[in-house]
Amino acid sequence: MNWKKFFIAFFAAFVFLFMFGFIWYGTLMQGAHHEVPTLLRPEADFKSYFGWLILGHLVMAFFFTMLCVRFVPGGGAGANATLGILVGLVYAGPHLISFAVQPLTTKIVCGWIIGAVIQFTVAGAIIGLIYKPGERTT
Amino acid sequence: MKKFIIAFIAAYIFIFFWGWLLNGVVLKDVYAQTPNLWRPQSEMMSLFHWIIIGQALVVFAFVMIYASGFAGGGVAAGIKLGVLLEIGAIGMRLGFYAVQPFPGKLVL
Repeated sequence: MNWKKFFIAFFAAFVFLFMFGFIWYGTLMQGAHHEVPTLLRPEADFKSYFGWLILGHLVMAFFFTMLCVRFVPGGGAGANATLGILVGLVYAGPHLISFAVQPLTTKIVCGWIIGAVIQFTVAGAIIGLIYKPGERTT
Repeated sequence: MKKFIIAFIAAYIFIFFWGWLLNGVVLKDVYAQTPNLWRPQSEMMSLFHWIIIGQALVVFAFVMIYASGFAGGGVAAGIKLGVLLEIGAIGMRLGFYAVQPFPGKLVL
């Protein structure tokens, strides 16, 4: 494995996942989230837990990059984006389960599902563009 | 296609019972500590089909990744795929822990 390329791809995926999350969940869906204030931490509380949000994104980005590099040996943006769609669907399933057990609105759960699929599809394409199999050194 | 359906059903049965055992039995008391975060039992039961659909979606996408040849073949490849996806899901849960007032024990 070309670790240098891996870490560049991982870093790019992390930046994208984090920025997309901020724009999609934190900005575009902010109004929808305000409909269920009891389910969310208060602003001050959230700030003190911000480190967990960063750590969560780092873990997601690292293992998704690992998944792409290990399981798409042919590389390429298209194949990695396809894997990203499927991974997005794996992570979208729990949102439907959350809807059944938590008092979330339909708008929130739809936003989370669409967001997860877009997020991992684009992240997969980014990883595929950066980590190219021809550049492997093993 | 036949093998895909058999793998889907087998994985679904496992996920369903694992979900019930972990969330419905082992973690039941932890969930009870935060009743304000959950729907009442009767409401949950009326939305139970979404749990089934959500689990089916997870299993379908998982089996699709495996069957598409991304993971290669065999039990070891399936386990490797499961481990990587689950660790990624842990990352997602940490993100939820940051924004929702879940008890730390539940996330752990």
